[in-house]
Amino acid sequence: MVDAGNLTRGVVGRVTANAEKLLVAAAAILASVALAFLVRRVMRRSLEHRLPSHVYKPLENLVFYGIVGLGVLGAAAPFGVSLGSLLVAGGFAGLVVGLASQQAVSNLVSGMFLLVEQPLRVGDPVSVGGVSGIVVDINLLSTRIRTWDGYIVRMPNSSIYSASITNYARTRARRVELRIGVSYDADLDKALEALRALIEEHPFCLVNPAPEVFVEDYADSAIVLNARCWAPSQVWFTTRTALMTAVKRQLDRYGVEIPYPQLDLHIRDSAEIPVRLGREG
Amino acid sequence: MSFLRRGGGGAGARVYPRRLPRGGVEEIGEARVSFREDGVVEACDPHGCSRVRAPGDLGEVLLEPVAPFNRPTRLSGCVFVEFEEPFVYPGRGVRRLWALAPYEVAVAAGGTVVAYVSPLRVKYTLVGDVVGGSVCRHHRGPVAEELGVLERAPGLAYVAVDVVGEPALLPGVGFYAVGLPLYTDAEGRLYYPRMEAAVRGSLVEVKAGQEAPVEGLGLAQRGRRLALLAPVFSAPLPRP
Repeated sequence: MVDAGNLTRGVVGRVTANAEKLLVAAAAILASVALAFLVRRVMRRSLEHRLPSHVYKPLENLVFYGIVGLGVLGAAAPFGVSLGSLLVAGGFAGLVVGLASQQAVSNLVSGMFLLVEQPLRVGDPVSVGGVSGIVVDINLLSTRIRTWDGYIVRMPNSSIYSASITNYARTRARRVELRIGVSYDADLDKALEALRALIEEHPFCLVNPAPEVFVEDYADSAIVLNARCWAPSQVWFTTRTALMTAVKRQLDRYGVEIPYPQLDLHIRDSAEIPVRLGREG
Repeated sequence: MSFLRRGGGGAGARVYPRRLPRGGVEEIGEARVSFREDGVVEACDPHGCSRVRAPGDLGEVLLEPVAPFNRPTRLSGCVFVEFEEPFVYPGRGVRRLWALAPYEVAVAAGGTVVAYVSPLRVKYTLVGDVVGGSVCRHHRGPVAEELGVLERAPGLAYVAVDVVGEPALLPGVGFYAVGLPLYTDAEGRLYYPRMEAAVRGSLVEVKAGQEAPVEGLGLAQRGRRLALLAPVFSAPLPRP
């Protein structure tokens, strides 16, 4: 016969002991999360002004998740879970969870690759999968991009990793290209000289690679001129807009006309076209 | 920046920083700095003007030469001086070259830098390739083996480069100028510190030192030492 009193005491004792362990574990996890937040804050304060964001943010994430991970390991210790068995269990659980949530795991793995390979870094101007803007944050699961018009777009890392990434910060210079149509009546040499002078005057149009100004096309309504120069990547947009604005003024100064679209109509038969001028009524 | 620290001993201590009293105007090349009676400090150069209002009890503003990286916007830390005629370095020992490189002027009021002006119109150039090269402040000017041959010009400081290594055709000289001191002589001419250029294969590597290129110069700008090792500027040599 089983003694009911002993059984109850045993169950209560075990529950109490486990509850204590659970509390300790929960406290360890909470403490590690709090510590991780604290360390992250301290790191951010001390590193923010000393290191570029693409360096300190991954470092910060690494330390944060490291502390939390250690906290979870510590929390498992009172239950007699060894690191080896945890790894085995973790591996198995990882497999199960991975199969169940392939997308999340894919994002995680892609996030790790993005952090290691760094095709984009925080602060870089980029175009990824149809989204263009500045990279604001790269986390393990997703990347946030602030578009040129100020919206924040969160993109899963797996989609970024598989997309073609254009990173505008990775080259020292980018080419600025202007196409301007000038009148067929204009002095072509003067027009070319005007554009050359404009480019030479601009501080951000680099001396080397040398700028180019040439006739690109004899189009329907205009002679199309092409003016190209290279500008430092950081000021590419500023340079382009400044040149675009200045082109009209410069051509006016040189007396070169930018024509409206034109269509010459020639009537070959001598059919009479009755035209009546005057007021009706 | 060591703006308010006076230059060390030597001839230049009297020249820099220049003091601009209330009501005064200073023109350096195409730059113009004025400290109006109403307390407005106006600093203009070919790329624009800026104005600040100084406190009523401020009697003067200071003008000090600095490395040329602030106008129109801060983009790089190196200067590339393209020689009007590429220089033939024949090898066989050290050969000193003299050239002129731009500088800018910092304007300080009440202990704060309020503006930078460039006495010359600014241009930049790319040294090296588009991915791994450097965007540097550009200046095109003569090169000489004698200092006296080069004519003094506003907004330009003398650069002395001691070239060593293999024979080469040098199209110019590039160097990192962030934190470099500037020296001055009694007549107010400015000098960058002595540079060493080593030609190795298809590269020329230029290391900027800290010491004055000739004796008897005073400090016009102390600069600041960035690291224990001076940065070396590498530029590819053109193939003949």
